[in-house]
Amino acid sequence: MIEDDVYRASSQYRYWSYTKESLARIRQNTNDLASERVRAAFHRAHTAHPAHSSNSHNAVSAGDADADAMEIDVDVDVETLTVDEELKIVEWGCSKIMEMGEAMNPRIPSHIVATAIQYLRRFYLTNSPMTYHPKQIMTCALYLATKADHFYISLAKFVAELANLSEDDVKAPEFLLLQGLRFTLDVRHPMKGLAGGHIEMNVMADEGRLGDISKATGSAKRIGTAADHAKRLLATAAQMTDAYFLYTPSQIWLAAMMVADRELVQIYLHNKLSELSSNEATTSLQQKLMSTISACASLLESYRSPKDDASQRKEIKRIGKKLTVCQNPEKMDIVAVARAKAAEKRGGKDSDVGKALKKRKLERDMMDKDGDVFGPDLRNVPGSGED
Amino acid sequence: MASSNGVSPLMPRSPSNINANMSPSRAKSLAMRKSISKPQTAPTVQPQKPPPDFDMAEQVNEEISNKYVKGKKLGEGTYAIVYKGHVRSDPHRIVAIKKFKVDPSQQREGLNVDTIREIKYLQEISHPSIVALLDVFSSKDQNINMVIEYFPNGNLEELIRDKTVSYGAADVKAWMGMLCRAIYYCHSNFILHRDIKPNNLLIAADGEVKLADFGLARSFGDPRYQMTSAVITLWYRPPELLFGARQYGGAVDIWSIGMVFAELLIRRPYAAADVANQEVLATGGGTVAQLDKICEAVGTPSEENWPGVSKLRDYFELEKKIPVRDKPFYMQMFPTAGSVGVDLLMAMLKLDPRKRVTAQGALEHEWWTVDPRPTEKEHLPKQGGGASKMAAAEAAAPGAVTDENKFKGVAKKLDFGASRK
Repeated sequence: MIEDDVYRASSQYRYWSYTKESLARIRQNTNDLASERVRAAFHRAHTAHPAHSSNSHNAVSAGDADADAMEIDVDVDVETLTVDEELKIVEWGCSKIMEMGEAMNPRIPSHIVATAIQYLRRFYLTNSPMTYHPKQIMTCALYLATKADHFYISLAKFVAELANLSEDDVKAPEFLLLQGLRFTLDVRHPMKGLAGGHIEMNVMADEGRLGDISKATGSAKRIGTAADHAKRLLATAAQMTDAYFLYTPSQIWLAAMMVADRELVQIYLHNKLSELSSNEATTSLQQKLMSTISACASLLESYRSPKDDASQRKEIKRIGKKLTVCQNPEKMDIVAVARAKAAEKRGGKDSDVGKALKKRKLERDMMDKDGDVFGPDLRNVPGSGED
Repeated sequence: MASSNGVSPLMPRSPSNINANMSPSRAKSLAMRKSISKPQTAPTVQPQKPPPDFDMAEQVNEEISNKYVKGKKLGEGTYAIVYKGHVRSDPHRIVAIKKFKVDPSQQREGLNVDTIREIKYLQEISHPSIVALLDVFSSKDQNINMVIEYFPNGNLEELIRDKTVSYGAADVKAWMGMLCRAIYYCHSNFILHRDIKPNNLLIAADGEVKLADFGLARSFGDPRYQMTSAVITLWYRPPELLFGARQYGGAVDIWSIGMVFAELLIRRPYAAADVANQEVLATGGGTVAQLDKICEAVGTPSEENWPGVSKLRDYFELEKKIPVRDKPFYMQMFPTAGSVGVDLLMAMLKLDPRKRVTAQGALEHEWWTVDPRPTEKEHLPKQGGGASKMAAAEAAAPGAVTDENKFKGVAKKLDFGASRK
């Protein structure tokens, strides 16, 4: 009863559930690693093409334009993004996914948009926007979500709906994205739970199991209003915060309801729990439940859309500018990156020559084993010389 | 829930039953088995040996990839190549590695959706009667590799066809129990398999039969969204899909299970359109011929036995008018099933999907409690096609009607001839 075994078996629980501390730690690790690599990439760029390096150099040390572009310590001092700044940029990508989903014809259902947003958020736990800008990944995330969640739209049509984007731009990072997602594609959303909870609350109210909230006091309207508010929160605040990483789907929808109508959720939970046999365990469970849901509710409430907040918009602009300077120059062209990764295998031990030799030996072995159905070697066949 | 002393057919008898009542420790060991430990511990940055250009995600991937050693090729199909392999730290732990082919002509829309969905659903599923996905990793050439259980004993199709193998009613009951538990698990997790057939039922080393190939699977239960009716291999496809239904539920899988049940009993497909005949395939990909076979085997769908059937999108008046087959007909057709077994079969093969038994209903059926008791899995016959047949089933395109592997050897030899030039 207390533990939802089905949910515990899900990849969302197994790989994508964190405490606040562990979430902060993994983001810091990702940021450290990416920052280091950005510096190394700039260093390589400077040493390889010293003449072309002055642009980035100027941007970095704007006040000191005359400084020697060759100075290595300047490269190393590239000002990289902080964890908070990275998160802001990822959230910007999430809001863009939302806009794309709404603008698309046919409109992409909100639960698929939500899946895409969670893909993006999960991807950026182990990847930095400094390495791959969200604008490179977000269209792929949305397209992958339509494929994984059975909403068919052809890539050609998908691309036609977006300005200035090629099919390659969308599908090139797919593999990278899948890897960042650890090949888990299922996202458990709170929306279905909310719909079920809405129905259950109505039934309980009609049966007189929600105290003062009853048919006589206009329960259907009150519950409906709260559910509508909660639904909006699930589509916005729940997507734009860490809610999915920190809480389960049922905690999230209950928290959204709580933001909308605290008393309603309190009465609902109280009555649900009182249906169980009352003992110490249920009392402590109730306390734990209320504090967890309250914490999630505060998280949802804390979200402010940049749309209604000028200072946030200004901040995102600033970070965007900063990112144009510290973006890893070797990863700018996502199509080229994907191609290079695919070609990586040709280096090292599995070289083309080695592979060809191996293949030839394999063929020989197979021929020995299978017997030769086409007679002796071609050179023994008269007239085969022309080939 | 089942009482502690009674054996509920809802529960696998195996102690490794993990879906029924998973304790926290079991949940933990499940997570362990999935081997990629929780991210807060796994992708620790190791500054002393930073791979030249590896993201954290790539490092994690590399660690998983290194856990396995890829061995010889077991088979190759339209979608994938299957290799034998083993765990590097324990060479006795044999696995199969299914490497999805990257075919540029099939990648116009990026990665194949069947691959994406198979991975999506298998990652969420863990059941003793469903093929276990141990790991997924990418190889350097951007291929996706699925590490799955190794099945040395082929699949049920091979076993049914192999006339040197004899089996009886108790064996059929054991296999059906595994299949029913597997699909009950899927349906209670809101997943439809949509390609149940003997070819996708693999035989594990310990005799357990496991449901494989989730390339056509999808989640269900949201009536707002339409689903495709072009799923399930023709011989196992229920009449509602043949009539083009776009909204359906677990009943489609149950029909397939009923057909598998019948096939296990008579050792040939029970209602099978002649898919080798081009004329047959020309009429709606064989749907007309398949419906004709269903009329003979089960009865002609009509408004009387299936209210609303004529409203289905692709419904048409069927030529054959055969009343729904009655119990004496089934008793004569399937004498080895016994009276109660025939009841279950008839419940699975109800034309009207709303009247068809559910997965839970099937597990609660009286058949499991009457004689004979199902064979213990250690004693089940295992001879099938062997590992190469497992590979054939795993590598084939989902929903393929014909046995494309029949001609594979020939094609290979032709290839060798060509490559020598």
